[in-house]
Amino acid sequence: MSAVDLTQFHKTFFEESHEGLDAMESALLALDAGSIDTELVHTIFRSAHSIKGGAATFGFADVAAFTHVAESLLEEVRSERRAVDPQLVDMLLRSVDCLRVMLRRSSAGQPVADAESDALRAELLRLVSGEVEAASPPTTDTVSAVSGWKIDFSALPHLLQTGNDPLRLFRELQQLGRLEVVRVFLVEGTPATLADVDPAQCYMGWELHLHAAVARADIDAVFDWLDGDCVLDVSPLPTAEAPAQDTPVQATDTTAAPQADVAAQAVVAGATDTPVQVVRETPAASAETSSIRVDIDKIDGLINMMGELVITQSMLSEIGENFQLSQLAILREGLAQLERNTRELQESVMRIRMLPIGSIFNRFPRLVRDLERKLDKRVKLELHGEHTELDKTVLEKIGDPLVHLVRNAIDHGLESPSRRKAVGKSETGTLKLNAYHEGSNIVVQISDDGAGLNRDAITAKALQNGLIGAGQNLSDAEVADLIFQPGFSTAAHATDLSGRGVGMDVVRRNVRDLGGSVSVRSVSGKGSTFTIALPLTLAIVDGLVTAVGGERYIVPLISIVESLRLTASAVRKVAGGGEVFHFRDAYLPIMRLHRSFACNEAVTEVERGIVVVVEEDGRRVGLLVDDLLGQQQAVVKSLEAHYRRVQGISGATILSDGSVALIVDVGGVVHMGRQSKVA
Amino acid sequence: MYESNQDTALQLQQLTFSLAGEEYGVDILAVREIRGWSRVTRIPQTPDYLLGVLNLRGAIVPIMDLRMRFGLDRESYSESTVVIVIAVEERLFGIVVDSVSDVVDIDQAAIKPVPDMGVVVDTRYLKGLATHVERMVMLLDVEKLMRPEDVETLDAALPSVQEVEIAA
Repeated sequence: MSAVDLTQFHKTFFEESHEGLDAMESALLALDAGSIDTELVHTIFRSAHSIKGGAATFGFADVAAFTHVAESLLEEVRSERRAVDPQLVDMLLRSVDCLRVMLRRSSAGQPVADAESDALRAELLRLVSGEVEAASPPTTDTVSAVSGWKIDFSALPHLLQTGNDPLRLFRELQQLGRLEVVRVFLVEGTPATLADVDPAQCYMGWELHLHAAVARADIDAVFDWLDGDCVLDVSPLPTAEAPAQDTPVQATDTTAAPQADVAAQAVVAGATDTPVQVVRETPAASAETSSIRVDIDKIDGLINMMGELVITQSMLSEIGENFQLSQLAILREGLAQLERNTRELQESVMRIRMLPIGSIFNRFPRLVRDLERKLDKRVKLELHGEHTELDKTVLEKIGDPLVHLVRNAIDHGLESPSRRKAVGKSETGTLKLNAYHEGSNIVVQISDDGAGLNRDAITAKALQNGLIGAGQNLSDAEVADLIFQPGFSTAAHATDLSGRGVGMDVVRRNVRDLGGSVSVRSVSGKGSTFTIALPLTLAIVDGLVTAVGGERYIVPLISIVESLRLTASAVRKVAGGGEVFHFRDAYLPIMRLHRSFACNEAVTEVERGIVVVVEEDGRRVGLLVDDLLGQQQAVVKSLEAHYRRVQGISGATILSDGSVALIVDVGGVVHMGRQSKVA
Repeated sequence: MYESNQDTALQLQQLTFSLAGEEYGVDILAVREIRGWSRVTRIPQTPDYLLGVLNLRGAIVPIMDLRMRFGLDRESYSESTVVIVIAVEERLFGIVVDSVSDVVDIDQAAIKPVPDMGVVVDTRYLKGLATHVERMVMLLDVEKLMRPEDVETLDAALPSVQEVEIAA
């Protein structure tokens, strides 16, 4: 054991390895596009090399062994002994996927290798040209040209007493290659009756076949400690005896499973030869990294601002110590400066959490490539605005909805090449992803030049699902909105891309959860554009401070349509005790916030209060409050940190006087209103 | 639980406070701060005893009235009304009490189990009873004070382990 605790570096290793894999993937995709750029090959090689080195250092032997094989292959490409072809790129991309899974398992402390990774590794090994050295584990320098070794190993009776354990030996042999237990026998001199057997003695012998192109010295090293405790005979394995597939390249395919039981391994060893095509991702235990990499410029900027703040503070305290009224102008100036410093500092601190959306966009070349093959379509992917930054939390949660939209666009939006040709379009469809800032929002657009939404199919489906009634005349926007309804899918047959029960409704819900909105615009025959608008950060909301009774509630500006004062005659009572008012050609229900939140001493006459019209899920209601106090940026604090979730409240914030105001969860309040109506 | 050490008896420091004429104690290690009464922001849909939340250096901390928690009436909040801020597993909450008395050392060995008595306090929030200078101090089980209602209801509905054992 080394004196330094290496585990403290594990997290960094995993982060860097994942970054390395991302780099490998994008470089591979660039290679795939046909540009044979030596720099790209070098990038891929370097990434693989660092992962291998790191994995070996930190004791992730399986990862190191796997990467080693991939690296050998890459070395051939680098030294131009192997041409880049789609098959190779394909294989390497699969290796990247596989390594991701392996790394995730390593970080979760799960067993790393499985049949899939072993099979893939064996395939890689087969690709590596017949040179034996490439097939051997990294440590072996000189290797004899045998395909394996036959080991006759008989324990002397006192073997166990010397502290040796045959199981350990087998495990070590497994590290070298696939180990097959051919025969287990009793050595000469074994007592004939059970009564005479001494449990502390070992009477067994094994005939082992080690299918690994390793040097004799490696095997001897394993048995080094058994000198004089056993009878050992090692001889090269006749090639004919090896199963047909057991070429030297394949020989090491069980090294990756040292934790498995030896006997079991011996039994299943022959079965692991089937190559498995897909490396499936197992749901990782929540090993998500919660660290963030910050540009040094941002930190320097922060330190600068901190310095200014300190200067301003000392200036102000100097004025305060010895204040004369004549200094009022200077004081005011100082306060203004303090305000500016504080605001700048706030902005810079928020910026630390901001990451470019490119890290999500970078997934898409690969996804598009895979989908192209699967669906036999041709897609040109255009990415714009990769440098647009948004909050890390938002970024992490927007990935899946975007993936879904991209899949949908390729699966449903873009037509097949033949169909495109028939309607006079280029055979290759275009999928555009664009991200940009708009006010305090970030907008992500996904547009395709496919067939557009099929109005007839959508209405027919909606009719069938009872979402709309027969003969209902819908505007284009209303038709487009239908696809976001739960349980809606027009896919005629369920492919593995669509029809998995995850529909656009989930996309909308995920985006809503982030405080954003999603809409679609479509022109028949020309394509569709999905637009997602997201808040830049979840940590701050722009809100309207309202008074209800003695309390102040903050209503997020994003959901406010308008605030107005109603006259008593504008309010109509409807059956069941509800109240409605007329607003822009519609009757909206009034929700009395003081009733929902049980506030005392609040204004109860509608005409004396103010109605804030809010919109949620396309549904508008009027919230009755006492008064509007002003607009404010509220730093969101969770109620759950020290208490628990409260329905109708999304969080709390601290007002300028130090008191706490609650932030209204508009969706929750609207929902509460509906419930009370039912009750 | 009530094991006594051979040499030095284990001393527990308790912050004592009065509530409706009775003396209570909380483990001093759980106490984060003692502060005067200030206005709280009410939270909808919470039990009566939860008065609201307070800004404690940027943290939103719930405040409960211990009198109301124990089913007593709160007379009024005055200058001498005191809030004890308690931390249970990183989570902070405040309890409103009549007044804070003292910090006392109590022998762990001297802590007696709570008898089933007809006092004003629900005995499930008590860890034990101790005597300090001829006064009885009821030791609060702070961890149970802030538990969600449903857990409590469930606890009350389930027979205690002892009862089950006796039945079996």
